[in-house]
Amino acid sequence: MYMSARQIIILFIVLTVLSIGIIVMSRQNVKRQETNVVVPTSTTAPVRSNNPRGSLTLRDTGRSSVFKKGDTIPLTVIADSFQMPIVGYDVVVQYDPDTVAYKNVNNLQKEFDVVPAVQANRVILTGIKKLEIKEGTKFSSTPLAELTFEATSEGPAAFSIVFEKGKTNDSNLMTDTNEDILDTIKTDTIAIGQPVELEQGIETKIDNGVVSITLTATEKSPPNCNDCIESASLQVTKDGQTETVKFQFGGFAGLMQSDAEAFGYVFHVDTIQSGSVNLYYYIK
Amino acid sequence: MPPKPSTLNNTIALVLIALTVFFTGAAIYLSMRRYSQQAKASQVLTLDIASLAPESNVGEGATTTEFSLYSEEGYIYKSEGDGLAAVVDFISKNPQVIEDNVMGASTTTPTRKIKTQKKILPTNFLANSYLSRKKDDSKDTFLKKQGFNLKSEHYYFRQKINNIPIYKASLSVHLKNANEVYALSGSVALNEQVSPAVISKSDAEKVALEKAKEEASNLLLHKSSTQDYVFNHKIMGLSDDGTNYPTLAVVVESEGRPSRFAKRYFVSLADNTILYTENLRESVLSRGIYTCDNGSTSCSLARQEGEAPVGEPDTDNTYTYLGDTYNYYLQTFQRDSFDNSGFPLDAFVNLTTQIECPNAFWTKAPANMFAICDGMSGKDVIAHEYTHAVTEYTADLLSTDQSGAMNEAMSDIFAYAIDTSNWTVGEDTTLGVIRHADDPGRDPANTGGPHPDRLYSPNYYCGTADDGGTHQNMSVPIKAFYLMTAGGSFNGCTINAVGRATAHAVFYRTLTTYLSPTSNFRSLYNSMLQSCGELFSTNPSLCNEVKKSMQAVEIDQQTLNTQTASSCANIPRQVPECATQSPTSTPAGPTATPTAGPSPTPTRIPTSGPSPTGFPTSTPQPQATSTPLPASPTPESTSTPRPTSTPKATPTRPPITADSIILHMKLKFQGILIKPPDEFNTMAIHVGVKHTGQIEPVFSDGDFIANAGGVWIGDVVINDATPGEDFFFYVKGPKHIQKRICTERPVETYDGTYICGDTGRIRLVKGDNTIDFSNVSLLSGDLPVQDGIANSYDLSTVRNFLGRTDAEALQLADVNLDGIIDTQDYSLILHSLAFRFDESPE
Repeated sequence: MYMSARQIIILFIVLTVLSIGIIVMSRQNVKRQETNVVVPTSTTAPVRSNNPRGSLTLRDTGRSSVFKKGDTIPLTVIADSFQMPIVGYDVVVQYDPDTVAYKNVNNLQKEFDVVPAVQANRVILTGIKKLEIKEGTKFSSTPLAELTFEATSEGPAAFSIVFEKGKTNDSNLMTDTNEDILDTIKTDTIAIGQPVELEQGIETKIDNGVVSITLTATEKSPPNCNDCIESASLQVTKDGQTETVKFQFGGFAGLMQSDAEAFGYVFHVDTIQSGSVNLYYYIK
Repeated sequence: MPPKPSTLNNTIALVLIALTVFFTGAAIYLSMRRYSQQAKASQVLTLDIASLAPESNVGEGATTTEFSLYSEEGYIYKSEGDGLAAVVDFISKNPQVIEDNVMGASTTTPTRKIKTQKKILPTNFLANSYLSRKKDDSKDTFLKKQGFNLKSEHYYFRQKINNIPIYKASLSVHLKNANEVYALSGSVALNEQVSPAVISKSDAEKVALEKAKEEASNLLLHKSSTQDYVFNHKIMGLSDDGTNYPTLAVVVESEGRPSRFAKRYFVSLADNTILYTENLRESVLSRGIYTCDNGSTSCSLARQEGEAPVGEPDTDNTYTYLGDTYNYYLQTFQRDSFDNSGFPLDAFVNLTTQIECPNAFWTKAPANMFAICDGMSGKDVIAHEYTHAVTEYTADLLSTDQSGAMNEAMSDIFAYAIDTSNWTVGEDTTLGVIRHADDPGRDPANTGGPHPDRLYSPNYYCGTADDGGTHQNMSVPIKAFYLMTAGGSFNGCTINAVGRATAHAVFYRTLTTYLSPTSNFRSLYNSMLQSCGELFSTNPSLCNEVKKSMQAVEIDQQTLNTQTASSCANIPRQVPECATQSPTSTPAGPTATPTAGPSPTPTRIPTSGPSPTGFPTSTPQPQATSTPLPASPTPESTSTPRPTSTPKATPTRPPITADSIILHMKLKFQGILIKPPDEFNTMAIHVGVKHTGQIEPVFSDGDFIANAGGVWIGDVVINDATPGEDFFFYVKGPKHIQKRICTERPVETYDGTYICGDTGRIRLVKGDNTIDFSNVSLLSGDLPVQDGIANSYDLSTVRNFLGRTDAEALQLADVNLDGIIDTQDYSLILHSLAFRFDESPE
């Protein structure tokens, strides 16, 4: 095929432009690859920090601390790392399988992959910062994950975070320098109670008639009253003996007396209506 | 057939004539119109606003008008007459204003100016008005005394319709040199129609009295006077409603002199509604303290305004503190009582059994009253309750959830304006200290404490008790107030103090101007910025400190339009914006607490299972590795020993005896597909054997070497086991989780899926035994120092060693023995997390 000098020049220009383009693109690729290099920051094998300050908190973030059978119980794991960048964590949550059943976990930190493992009475969450994100995360009351349980039977249900200083196979907070800085844990207790609706002046039998309860008084804050106290009083009778228990909310001080005990039972009220309350009870 | 030429010519001529007639007619019409307009214009006095002083303006409105016109220099109009005659002459000229309006400001049309002419007075204003006042500067003794020699005259007119005054509709005209109008201003109705009156005046009086009794039920009230008015909301600046309503203005007063209550109610005679209320009292403090000793339900007036102390502490303290608070609001914000209309301050003290005690509250219903239990009359308590009343009459914040928390917070914040001696609340009462503004974490447990100091504090209350934790979560805005007042470092932010008065000014404007009943913490943040910007526009750095104070307590991270806290909704927390700013100075203040890293959107992950989505289900194929980096320095030995030992690289082989069970074993390790380089081709393997039913296995170690196919071959000598046919094996590599095997030739489809049953089925004899486990992979994950679990310790080690090729790093974390710590090692351990634990004896 014959090509004129003009065609050759045009072809030459096209090829030159293409070549320059390819060179530029390949240089950009090289640069991109270079930025993908993860710079290791650790200098030591994993150790427990000499100055551990991190904390893990397990917290009920629902609207009530008392649930009834069948309710879903949401618990949030919250971490503080006190300015230390965290690249991985383990949270070992222990629960009472006789009162609650583990349902699932919701990861609240997109930059971490979370792998749960479930044992007879434990859920282990291992979170690890995604490799593509170079820096660790400084936790400050940061919600890591939400665990969901189902209330299966009545009674207090304690949740704890398994942690013992010096141990590595429990809960950990690992920094980008391979130090475990976990130092303190805060746990939560919720209760699973039997719900009872009480009307003022009407005696109600509970626990197969063993105990009778009467709502004797309620004080509901009137509209437009600021700092009024809301209260409810119960008369609890068992084996011919009677005790009075009282619940109070609000007031200038912001009272939070939602639990009361009598005859080995725990009674719980969250909100008070005029002339009625929704009560939960369980054996202590 | 073609038309004849003459016909054609005629046709053309006709057309021409018609055109001529049309254009002539049009010209005449346009000329007439122009003449007519000129003639019309000549009947009015037109004032071009462009030629007046820049501050001149005319408001919009078809039915009313509001204007202020000032001459730039000289005068607006010069009359032939003098004084009032000049003013009347000017008004009779029906003055109108010409304004330039910019039109067509779009991307396709250019802007252009159009002149518009606005009426400022109704045509017959002189007939429907009266001169209400005249002021002559030349006769003003105050001006003369001050040395001013002014000679202006000022004429004030009030507008009326059908001889009834329009309330506050007025015109003022200002003259100089006796006949030169140099300024005028007014707010008048252009529409002189009035809605028909259908309600009797006696009915209107009843409405006013009922309203007054509602507002001051504790006082004896009576109607003292009435007057007819036309009422126009637009003229009053209350709304855009320019309708003229017939009203009866009814004055209601309380008995006694001076009366504690006096208000004028404008009752519409069109529909019997109260259109407007005026407080006629001067801003005079009026206190009444009632004592309710001994549980009595009838309380008696113990001390009222101006009376001497009675010697009873709660009565006298309440009297004093109510006065202090009243005066603070009046002097600082010109607020006359909590309703800004001088409402009397009535307090009931020494309550014991009449209400739940100890407590103090303010309630609007039934009587705007303070109720103070015995021993609860503290300065901050009274100021707190007083501010509840202010809130009720301004933002009217709800008393539930975040709005309620803000309601409570405002009360404490302004209590700190009255009680400036400390940062606590309740210290002078029987309750003792119940709140600490500087550190809500110290608040006592019986009040639901410790209380939160920021939105994402673990102490933030998410429950329903106390109307959604109003007294618990109030501490978040209070902490912001504390930070802006006192300064300090908190939550990674450093705040320079703006001072108490400044902080209160911003909070007051926010409360009284911008917050609404359902405002939440985010609304508070936005409103505070708006208020500060308005109050201190010349000092942006001050408002930046206000902003930082609120960012430090994270209220800017609250989602708008919800009462549920972002922290209760598990919305991830962000690093406070102020924590990323460099401080302008380093003030003294509270200890800093940490900040969090980026907190992205929550991602739901699946429940536990062998292979979570997104994680490898088989050993990954080799990938391009990262660029190796130089070896790091030797680590310091600061670690706490981990519980189980790692097999040594060269284990001591037990002596072989006649009873020894010698295992010739083949093993396969996850991720090692070929023979590794020679320097890495040795592994010390921990092997245990156990009869079914036996409690503890017998362990021994052996060195293993890989062949070309990646199968690891080695011998292990067991000396303390009795031969049998029911053996379990427990095999653990130096970076691996322990595997339990109970069949002689186990197989699996994917790495890690082999599961041993309850019975050991491996036969072992004295002497040589060939054991081939090379069809199951021993999973990696439990890196040195081993602890029986693959967890974040192991993953973090790999992550932190990525790219390392030095001996220390390789010994700890090179899972696949390829001479570098890379993503393959990481992926292998991630995969193992689905299995995680050493398989222990059953």
